[in-house]
Amino acid sequence: MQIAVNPLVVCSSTTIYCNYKQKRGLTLKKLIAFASLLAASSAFAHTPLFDCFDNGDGTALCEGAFSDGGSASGVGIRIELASGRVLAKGELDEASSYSFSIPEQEYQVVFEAGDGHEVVLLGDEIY
Amino acid sequence: MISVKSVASFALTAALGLATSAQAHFLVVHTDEMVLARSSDFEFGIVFTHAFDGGPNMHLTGIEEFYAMQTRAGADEMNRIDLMEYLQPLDWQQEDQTVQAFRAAIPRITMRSLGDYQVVVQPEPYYEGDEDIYIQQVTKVIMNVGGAPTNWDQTLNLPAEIRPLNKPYVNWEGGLFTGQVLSHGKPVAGAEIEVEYLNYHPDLDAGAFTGEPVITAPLPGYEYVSLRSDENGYFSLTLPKAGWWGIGALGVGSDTEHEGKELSQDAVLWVQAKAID
Repeated sequence: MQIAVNPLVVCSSTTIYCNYKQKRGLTLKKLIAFASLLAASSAFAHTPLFDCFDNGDGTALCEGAFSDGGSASGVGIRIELASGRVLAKGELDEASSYSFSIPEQEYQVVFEAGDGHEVVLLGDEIY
Repeated sequence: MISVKSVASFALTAALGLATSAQAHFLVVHTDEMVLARSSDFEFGIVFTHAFDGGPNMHLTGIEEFYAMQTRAGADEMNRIDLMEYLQPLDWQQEDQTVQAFRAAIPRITMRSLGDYQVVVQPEPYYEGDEDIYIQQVTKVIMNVGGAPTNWDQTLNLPAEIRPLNKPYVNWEGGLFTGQVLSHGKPVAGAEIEVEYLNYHPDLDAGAFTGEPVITAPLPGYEYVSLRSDENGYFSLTLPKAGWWGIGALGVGSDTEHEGKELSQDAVLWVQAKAID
C-alpha cells in the first residue's frame, strides 16, 4: 500500500495535529485507517513521521521518526522518479537520517515504514 | 471625600491582589504556535509585561542568554542551539510609554529536525523601583517540530525552572496541567506560583499588544491565579481558555542578590491550550 502524504503523517488517536492534502487522494478516514493499521502492526506501534530538507548544495537530507519520539534507524528509504524507476535505495542511519543527491527530474522520496506501508514525499515539497 | 463603598472596594481589591503590583510580571516569550507541524521560519517576541492587561510594560535592558536545548527524535543527548545572534531590539509601546522589547526571527535551518526544543530566555535583572528589588524571570517555551516528542519533560537544571509533566505544547482547553518547580534540578516546596493568561495579541510589527482582550476579569484578583507547590514541588491547574498561559514560580532561584539588592529569580513556563471544536 502506498500513500502520498504531505509530508508528515501526524494523525492518530493520540495526536491532534494532522497535516495532509486531500487533493492527493488521502481522506481523513483513509488516514485514520492507515494509522490504525500501523498501530496494529507488531513492528510499528506508532505513526511514522518523515521530512526532508534541501541543503542548497544539490543534496537533500531526510529525517525519520515515530510519533512516540522513537528512532527510525534502519527504516528503508528510496528515491524514485515519477515513472517508478528507483534511483537510490538505502536505510536511515543511526541518527535516523539519509542524504541523497537531488535528481534533475521530477522525483519522490519513499519512506518504507514497514509491512508494505509507505510514506511518500514529493520532490517539489522538499525545500 | 472617600466613601465607605470606595474604601471597601479598595480593601477587597487589595485583598485579592493588585495587578499592577510587582506580582503578575511576566516575561512573554511568544510565537504563533508552539508546535510546527513542519519546520519553517518563525519569529519570537520577547516582552516584559503584565500579560493579562497587556501592560504596563517594563524595560528590558538586555538578554543574558537565549538558546534552545534540542533532542532529535530517536536520540538521547541534548544539543544547545544558541539563538543570541537573532535578537533585535524592539520598541514596545503602550499609550505614551515606550520600552525596549526584543524580536528574534529564527530561520528554518536552525530548528528543522524532528523533536522538541526547550527554548530558554534569561533576561538581565529588571529593577523594580516600587519594591527596591531586582526581578529576573528565567523563561521556557517548549516547542515541537514534526510531532515527535523528545525532551519536553526533562529538566535543564536551570537556577529557576518549571518542569512540565504534561506536554506544554499539546493541551485541550479545560484540561489539567501539572508541573514541578525546580532549582538546579531539585524540587522547591511551597513555591509561590502565579498563573496568568496572555490576554492580548503581541503584534511585533506594531510593537504593541493589539486587539480586544480575550477574557475579562470580574475582579482584579482574577487577573492572575495564585497557588503553591506541594512538598515535592508539584502543582496542578486547569487551563480554562484556549490560548497561552504563563506559569511563574516567584523567587525560587538560587541567585538572591544583584548589585547589592534583593533579587527575585523566578521560573516561568508558557503553556498553550487549544479549543475543542
